Amino acid sequence: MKIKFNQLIVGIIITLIILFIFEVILSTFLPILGLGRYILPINVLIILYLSFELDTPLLSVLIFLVQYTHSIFSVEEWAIGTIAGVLIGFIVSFLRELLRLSTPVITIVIVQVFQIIWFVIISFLNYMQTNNLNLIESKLWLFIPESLIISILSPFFFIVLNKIWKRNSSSMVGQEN
Amino acid sequence: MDTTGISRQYIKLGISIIVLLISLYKFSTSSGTTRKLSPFKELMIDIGASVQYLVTSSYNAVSDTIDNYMMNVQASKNNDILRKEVLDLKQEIFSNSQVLRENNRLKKLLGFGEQKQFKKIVTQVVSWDPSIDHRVLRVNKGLKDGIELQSTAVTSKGLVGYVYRLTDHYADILTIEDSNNKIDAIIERTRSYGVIEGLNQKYCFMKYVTRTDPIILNDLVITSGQGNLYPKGLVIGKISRIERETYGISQKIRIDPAVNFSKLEEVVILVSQDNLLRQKELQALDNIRKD
Repeated sequence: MKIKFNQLIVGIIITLIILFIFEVILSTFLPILGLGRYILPINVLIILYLSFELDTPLLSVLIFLVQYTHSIFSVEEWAIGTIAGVLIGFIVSFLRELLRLSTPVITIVIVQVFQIIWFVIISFLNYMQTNNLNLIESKLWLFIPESLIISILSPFFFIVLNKIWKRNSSSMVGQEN
Repeated sequence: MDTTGISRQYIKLGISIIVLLISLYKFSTSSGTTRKLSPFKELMIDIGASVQYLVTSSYNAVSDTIDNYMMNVQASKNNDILRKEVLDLKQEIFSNSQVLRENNRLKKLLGFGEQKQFKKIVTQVVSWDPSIDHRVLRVNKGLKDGIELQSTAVTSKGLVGYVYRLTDHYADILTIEDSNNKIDAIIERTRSYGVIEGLNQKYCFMKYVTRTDPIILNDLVITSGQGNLYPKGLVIGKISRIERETYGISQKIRIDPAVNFSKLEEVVILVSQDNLLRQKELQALDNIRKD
């Protein structure tokens, strides 16, 4: 979807506010409920949405803004997520014609596949930094339930984001509104 | 695709490559024992943490009110039992104070150095890091309350971690469960040295303990004081699994932390006068590592 610059500004501000609210809830309520180890990466979901749905030259800047907001709540630097996000953006731009988020099931499957790609990129970068394969294995066991929940939530979350970005929910990736 | 479309794709590619290169540079220079923040980032963290604090304290206020009511009912029954226990404990304190005096006299005689004095700052846990890659918690006190980078965080049960990132009003503590935290430790009974590493799980691993060291399950593991980050003698946890092969030079040991991180509400930060010196030393080590 090609969008105007002012629409882009408004959309990203509202998206960042939503991310901010989610980060506060996830970092405070889930640990209180004893689910601190299963924190859902909403930032990843937002980046996937932006990559799938927006056809703008400023996509990588938007990914950076999402990751910077995430880094307010996490010691994870914005850089690692931005690298993964931009690479995902590249992949999506090549596969744009093939990816069609036409039904909730397809959306769930595509989001799951791209979360796996995200995990592979992040794990590779982490391995380069720590040289520790055990760490990747232990993260994998946390990643599996988290990514499944995120994938299941994605159709509902994308409907909300479609409203924010004023996108017709029945249109597909690659189609212009 | 028309000319505008092609130039648009080139612009997108150009911006993406620039962002990617900046991110790669930032990523390659971001390792280290602490995280320095820009004033803007510090401000953003303070705003975010204030909202987190508001949410956590509101929840705690509500749950405390309910808990207090429930507990008051039980409290009167326990009161009589506790009074008797207080009398017994007073007696014990008196006899312990005699032992303490005797201990101090003997220490002086043996020429032991004075134990380091720490300023203790009690903090409340505000939130946890919303990322699977880190086990970091945020507390509601910061630079203005006297906390310094790399100050040790403990509870009455044992070691929590150290201050990794700091703003004026909040501090992020890298817990011992985090994979970036390495602790020089000893097994209390055998005095065997090793390094504890987190795996972002409920347990940690102790590495480099010699295979022939006769360690057993439930041996207590404490900080060694080496590594210049944690004071000596803080309880880390107990040995819960030992993997000892017939070959190799070390054994793989799993440690269950003494602190229950899932029920952590308050953390005490130990601030030493030596922290500034320690920071400079670690900074120098980081610089050497980068070179």
